[in-house]
Amino acid sequence: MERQALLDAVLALCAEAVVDNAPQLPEVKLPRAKFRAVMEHLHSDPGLALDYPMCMTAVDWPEQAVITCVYHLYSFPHGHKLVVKCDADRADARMPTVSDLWRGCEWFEREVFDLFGVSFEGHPDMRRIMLTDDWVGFPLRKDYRDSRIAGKTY
Amino acid sequence: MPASPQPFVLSAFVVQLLLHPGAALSGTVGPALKGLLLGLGLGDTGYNAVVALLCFVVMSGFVTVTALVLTLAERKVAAYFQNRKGPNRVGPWGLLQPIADVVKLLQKEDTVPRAADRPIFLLAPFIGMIATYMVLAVIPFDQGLSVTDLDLGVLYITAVSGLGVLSILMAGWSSANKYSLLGGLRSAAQIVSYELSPALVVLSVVLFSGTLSVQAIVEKQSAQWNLWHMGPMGVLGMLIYLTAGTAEINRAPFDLPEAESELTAGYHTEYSGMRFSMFQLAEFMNMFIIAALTVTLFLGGWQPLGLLRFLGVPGYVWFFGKTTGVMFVIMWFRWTFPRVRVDQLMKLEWKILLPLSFINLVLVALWAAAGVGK
Amino acid sequence: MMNLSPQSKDALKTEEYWINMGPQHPSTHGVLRLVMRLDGETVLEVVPHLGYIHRSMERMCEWDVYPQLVHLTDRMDYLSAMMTNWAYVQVVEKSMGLVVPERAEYIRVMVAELNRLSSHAMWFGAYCMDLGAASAFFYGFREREIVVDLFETLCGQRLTYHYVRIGGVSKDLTEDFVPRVLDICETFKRAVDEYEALVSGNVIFQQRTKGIGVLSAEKAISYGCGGAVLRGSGVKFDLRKNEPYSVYDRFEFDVPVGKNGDCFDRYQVRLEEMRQSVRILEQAVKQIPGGPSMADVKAIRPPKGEYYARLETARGDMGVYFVSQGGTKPYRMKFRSACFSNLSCLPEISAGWKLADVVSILGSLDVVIPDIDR
Repeated sequence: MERQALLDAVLALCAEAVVDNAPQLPEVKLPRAKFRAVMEHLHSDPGLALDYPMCMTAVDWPEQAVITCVYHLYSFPHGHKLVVKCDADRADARMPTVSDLWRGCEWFEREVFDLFGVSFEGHPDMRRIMLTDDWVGFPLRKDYRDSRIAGKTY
Repeated sequence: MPASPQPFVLSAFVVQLLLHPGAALSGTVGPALKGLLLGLGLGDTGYNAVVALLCFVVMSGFVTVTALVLTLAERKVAAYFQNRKGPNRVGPWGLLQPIADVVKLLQKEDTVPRAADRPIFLLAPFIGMIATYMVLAVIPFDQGLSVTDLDLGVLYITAVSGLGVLSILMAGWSSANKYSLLGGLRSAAQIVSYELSPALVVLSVVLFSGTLSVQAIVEKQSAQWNLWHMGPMGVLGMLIYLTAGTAEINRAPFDLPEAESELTAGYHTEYSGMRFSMFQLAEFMNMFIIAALTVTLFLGGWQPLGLLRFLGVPGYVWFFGKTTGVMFVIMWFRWTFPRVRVDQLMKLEWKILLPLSFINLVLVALWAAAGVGK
Repeated sequence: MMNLSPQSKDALKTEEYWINMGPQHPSTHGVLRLVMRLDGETVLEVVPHLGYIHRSMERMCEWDVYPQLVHLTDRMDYLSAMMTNWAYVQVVEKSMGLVVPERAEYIRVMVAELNRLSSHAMWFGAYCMDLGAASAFFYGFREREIVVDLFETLCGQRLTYHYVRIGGVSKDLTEDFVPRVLDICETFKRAVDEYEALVSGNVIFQQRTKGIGVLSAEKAISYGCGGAVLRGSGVKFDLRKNEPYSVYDRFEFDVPVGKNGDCFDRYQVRLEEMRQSVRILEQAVKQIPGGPSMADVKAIRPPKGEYYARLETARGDMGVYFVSQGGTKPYRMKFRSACFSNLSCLPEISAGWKLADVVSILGSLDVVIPDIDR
């Protein structure tokens, strides 16, 4: 599917989505309320058929007080790619899970929880994956400070 | 034996000892020793006791030397299969490596787990060695050269070789370790299952030879070795025996108790130093025994091959040569094949080897009844 | 089958138990901890515990300038370090629109394919050793050694190459590079045939791999698997063919695909990939042009924005995503490692198999733990 057609299809699913065709890959920013529903459509709609989780991560934007979850999706039947973004509040970072749609996201979401502190509602096994279970803090957040890290500034 | 003592000529005795040790020992050394001991006033029981002690010492020496040589042989054979050289630093061609290994094991701390069942824990390695010695006692290395020659030799071997399982179970149970117990149980199941097919194959050889005495089975192979004398059943029987024998000694593709080291470490986890080396010794000697029994039953024991008898090579050279060949094949198995899984191991025995050995037995019975081998 | 009456069923009550395959174990995959719930021999649940070699590489990336980050990628999937370097370098070049000289592209392709060969050779050895065929380990390493020696001549390193840099490669080829590559091609053609002859046809190996750990195509896609794991399940997808990067569209090669998605298929796919890598190398050697091996690059300042690119490493689909604020250091760098997604399917495909099968499945997924933990 063409990039613009893909973005139009997403806009048809959710009018509040903010689409952007300018970057390297077509991007869509979804509001959190509609996030889960749109993702389900993106997965199951045969015209879109985004069945492969290329990458899922998060980016911390402390100035905007959000942590953006970024999903890179690919479609094996059609060969098109889409970047889906959704903001989570930094203060109370919660997102709906998509691990039942893309099984690979199960571990991706655990990693985001571990390193950013975004908890995913409905996730079957929401616990830290890299760090020890009793770790305090979320290292990939920009305000993470650890007395053991010497001399690094941002 | 003539009543008057023969004049003792040393050189003739040495030649006879080298060429026909069995005859030398029973003809010259035996009566001389008997005369000496009875002359000292020991009586028959005393004589028997001294002879038994001497046999034990000689066997121990043999077992130690063989096991040490086998450790080095295994490492060198493995190395050459793997495109490398193996131990070659300690002594020329690594010949002193076993000594280095022994010294290393001797100076290790002898640990016994606190929760272990102490008497059984300490006894387990030795039971394994006892079983090994007992089987070794009836194997003929040359004409008349065995510790003892029982009329029921084969039955004795089948009965006694089961004792090895006891040692493994004792070690696994008394170690107070979940993984040792698992390894020990699994190994015991494996060994007990794989007792059956060899027993049936041995039975077929007995049926064919018409005797249970091990020495007599070898003597009957003077014209032709059982491997071809028994027709295709000889080949089948030997293959079954070799396969099941390898499984009985926890080696080669059937080394699940050792392979547990991927996960656990088997029944001898908690043993260290010399106690551990007793298990290793027992394992190498078991390999020797399986090879020796294969040679005895199918490959003619100490009998030479056809026209090569006129070379005048002594019987024990033939015996050790053949046994070495079979041991090399067993080592070859180990360094070539992947491991089987536990249920595949059991399936192999109960669904494949056991029916085959039954068929083998029936065919040999028919073959013998048809008058072959008389 | 025994007919268990209700009373005897109580007497034979069994318990499930948990077993730990600790971070240290003899397989060469790295520090991975698998906690398994077993019922006898059967695995009911596998819980992988990661993070034993988590070095917070993504955090480190926010502190250093872009060229400094290449060495971090070496240490992720260290068995295909050239390709991991390239995956990172590729996305930075794309973001800046940097044109890499053609010679450098060909060199990158050649070292990537050589790296793939050495990585698969090592995987082959490690996999066979996991299954018990220890000798195959040395054969795999014998071939790998030749490639690694070549890399040492080329860039001075045997494992963490740091050779593919932003703008090209760090050093041009040495004079003996091309003849040695042709030698390697000949060696690997023979070697893969030898591996097939020794291992693929072996009954025990097939019993341990065929039908084990079946991963269906939909699950493979859903889990985000790539490389041989995806292709073994029947999905004909190779980034070098489907989304050709660099000069891969100028080469003729096939993409091997499995049928059933079991361990044997993944194994076959990797062996076949080695053959295809040899094909690519032979063509690259003929086509490589002259010219510079590094673009004239000044400061690396990717324009503000977000970028993603992926590449086919020996293990699968490796992606790099980064967010740039226009400066010399990235704002956020994410390495989407192939092994992370490949391993995530382990709990599902190993449930219901035996303990020994989990080792086989894990080996067939070909994971390098530092790539998972970063």
